[in-house]
Amino acid sequence: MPPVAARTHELIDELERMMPGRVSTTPPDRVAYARDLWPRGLITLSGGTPAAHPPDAVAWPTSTEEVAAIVRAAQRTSTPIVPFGAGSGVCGGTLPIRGGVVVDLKRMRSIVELDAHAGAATIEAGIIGEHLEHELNRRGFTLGHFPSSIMCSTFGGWLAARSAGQFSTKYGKIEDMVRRLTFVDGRGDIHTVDAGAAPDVAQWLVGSEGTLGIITRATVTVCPQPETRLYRGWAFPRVAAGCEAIRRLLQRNLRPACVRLYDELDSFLHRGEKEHKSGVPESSALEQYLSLLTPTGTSVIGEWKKRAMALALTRPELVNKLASTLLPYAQQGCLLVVGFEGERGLTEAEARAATAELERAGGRDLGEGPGLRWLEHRYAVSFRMQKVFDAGAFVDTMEVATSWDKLLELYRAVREAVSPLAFIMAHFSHAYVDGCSIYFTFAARGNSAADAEKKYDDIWRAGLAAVTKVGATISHHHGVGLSKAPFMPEEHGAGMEIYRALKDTLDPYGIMNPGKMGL
Amino acid sequence: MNVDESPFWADRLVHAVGAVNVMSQSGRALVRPGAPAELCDIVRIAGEVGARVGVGLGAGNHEGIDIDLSRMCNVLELDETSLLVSVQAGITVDALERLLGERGLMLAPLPSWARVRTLGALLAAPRASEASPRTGRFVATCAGIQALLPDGTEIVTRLAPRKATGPDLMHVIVGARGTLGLITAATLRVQRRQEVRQSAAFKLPTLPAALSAARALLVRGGRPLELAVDAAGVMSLHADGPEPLVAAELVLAERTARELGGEPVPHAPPPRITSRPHERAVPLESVDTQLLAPQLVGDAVRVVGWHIGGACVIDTGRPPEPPAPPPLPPLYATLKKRMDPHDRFVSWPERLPH
Repeated sequence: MPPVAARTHELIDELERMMPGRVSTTPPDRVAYARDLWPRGLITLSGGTPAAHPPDAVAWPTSTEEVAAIVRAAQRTSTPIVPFGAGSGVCGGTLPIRGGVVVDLKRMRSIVELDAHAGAATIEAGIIGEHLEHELNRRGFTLGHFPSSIMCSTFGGWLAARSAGQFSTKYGKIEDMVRRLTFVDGRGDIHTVDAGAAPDVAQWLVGSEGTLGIITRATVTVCPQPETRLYRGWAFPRVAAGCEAIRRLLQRNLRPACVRLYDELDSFLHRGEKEHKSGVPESSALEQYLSLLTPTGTSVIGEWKKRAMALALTRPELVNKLASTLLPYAQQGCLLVVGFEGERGLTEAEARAATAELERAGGRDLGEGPGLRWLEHRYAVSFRMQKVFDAGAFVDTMEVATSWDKLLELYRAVREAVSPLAFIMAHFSHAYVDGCSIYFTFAARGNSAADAEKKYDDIWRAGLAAVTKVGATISHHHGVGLSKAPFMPEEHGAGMEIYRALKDTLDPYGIMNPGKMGL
Repeated sequence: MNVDESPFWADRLVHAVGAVNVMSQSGRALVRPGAPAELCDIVRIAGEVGARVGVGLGAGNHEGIDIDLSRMCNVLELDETSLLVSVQAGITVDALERLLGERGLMLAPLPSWARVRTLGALLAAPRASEASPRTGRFVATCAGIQALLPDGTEIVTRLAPRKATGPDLMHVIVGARGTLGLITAATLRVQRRQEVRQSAAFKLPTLPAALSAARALLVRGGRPLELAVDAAGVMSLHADGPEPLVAAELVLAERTARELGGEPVPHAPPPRITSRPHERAVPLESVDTQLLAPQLVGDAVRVVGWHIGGACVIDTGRPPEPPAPPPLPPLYATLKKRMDPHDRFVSWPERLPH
């Protein structure tokens, strides 16, 4: 454990006086706050290498004013500040790169106000997503924001990274919900800004990943809890037909809560799902995928499976080729899950109109089963990833987006780029009138942690180069952090100058979450 | 700021855009570029001679270069698969609607008095009335922009339905009245004209009741294409889309109105307003209470521009706001100093159409 930097001692003393009992410099806390869920970091850790730059201290403020005081104090000693929610980010967005103070916002966790008439809630940044949703439900409302990390991510983290929930097609991404925002900038000044003002300062902060300031609370749109939910599965012969069906739905003014189209491999794994006698499914597709990667048991068959998967992950090009060659002959097609929810009359009308549209687009109705199965298991997979790393492999996701005219080109380009390097499959979700996001899941393994790190970097380089070449965006909702920072100039071109101007304006001392987003 | 008044200064503009597109008079010039490259040249020349630049500045006492973008009015690309249209900033709403209409497409709804505005004006100086329940604020239908920064840098924002690659930098330029960057083109999300379109109106006992009904409709998930409330307490709406959805939307509107004592009445199109009226943004949270102020309730009051974040009160009986732009946030001033240290790009005034 590196010693606490000398210049930081003075700051820590000041913080301890300011907020006694809510500052820690203990090694367990410094270790715990030196990681998030960035798979590259997990590979490094699994190789036995601890984080090189753990924070010097962790602070738990309880108010916006305390956050401002911490920033002002940090400014005097040029100490980096890293805002922290629940550490579920997958891009290294909360990893300190120069030590400093991690500001954990989880003690700022109240719903300050709920205006039922206007459908608005003012919420502190540190509340865990699941707790927030539960409390809103208790009062008859929903935020409609359900990222798969909902149990281990915070409201502030969602805002900082432009998060998307699984029902974003109806409720919008988190940036679409913001009505007012309070934040502390890098000078320690507190600002409250209304969304929609000209210029829209709130949108300067949403997605800034703590590099421009710390979001401490926001007023967002909330909706009455849905009176009804209607979910169904549909089969389409190919990915292209399924994408076309989604496009038609969206462009006819229908707003399903959820649309998810699985490519042939992903759909194949869904079809393989086992069910209990009760009819409750045992596992979701990606869970099965992960269990394939990490077979358990000591039986001969278990051992054989382990070896087969190890071989498959060291020869991904072969496995991908086999999957893309053989699966079309399996005539399984692609699974599309479509769900509507909300006010009963509107929801039933939308579902009726969608059924007609999907039938016209060549879809085959699979009934409620696949839709309900997905609904039941939609959070499960995020909590099974660690097993893969424990087994010496790694798995990650790449969420990219583009307009409808380039969507299939994007799908093919990323598959082609990544296939030689990793086992890859995809689903299409978060659909809009003008385009859609693709969520690639890939897995591979290295002979050592160093080898795995190299493979991991190669996969991302190849994948994102393909994304950029098509003209798509390199991130739809996971953010940039450290992992995509090198690709920011390619993404924004000369627009990076605006980011640098924002950084100089809001964080003139350069202390706010250094190194993230390429700033 | 003193402007170099030598003939050489005007000559350089003439070289950049052609003599017919420059009108100069001591210290001032009105220039009509026809392409982004010409605009780049103008900004470069302005920087070299120390002149200030603005779009649509008009014939005030302003010294510097007034840029008229009316020649930059072309459609650059129409992607009917993604329902995106890329157009230059000088095109007016009317002209663009005509072109889109030929393909069965349309922009997000805009009030009648906004139809003379150019795309550049809509994005640089958005107004509260330019919003719809379906599509939100008009600027939210902008998927990307091309702009010229004060230092002459050209930027093109990456086109994607949504991104998580940092803050949306479009929002630094949009709404900044041309002071942080000149928008030269934009890509807008457009809509197909739907086969079913129906209107309905409901008379509520009072104006606050009608406002509450409109708000409740939005909170319950109603997303009509247009929604308005007038001073007599009539809530009117247009819904479009697949037939079952249109029917359900009207049923929900009627149920919501009846719960607050309303009754269906024949829908009558409101009088067409062509002059820009007095308008004021109201957040959804206080849309009924703010309007209880007696001085705001007159026969000429109408509440339009409804979206999930708020609405806009217009009053044709009052003069519109004075042309001085509203105050910009303090952070903006700091950013302005950083992006335009010589204060080259001047504010876009809110010129009145008549």
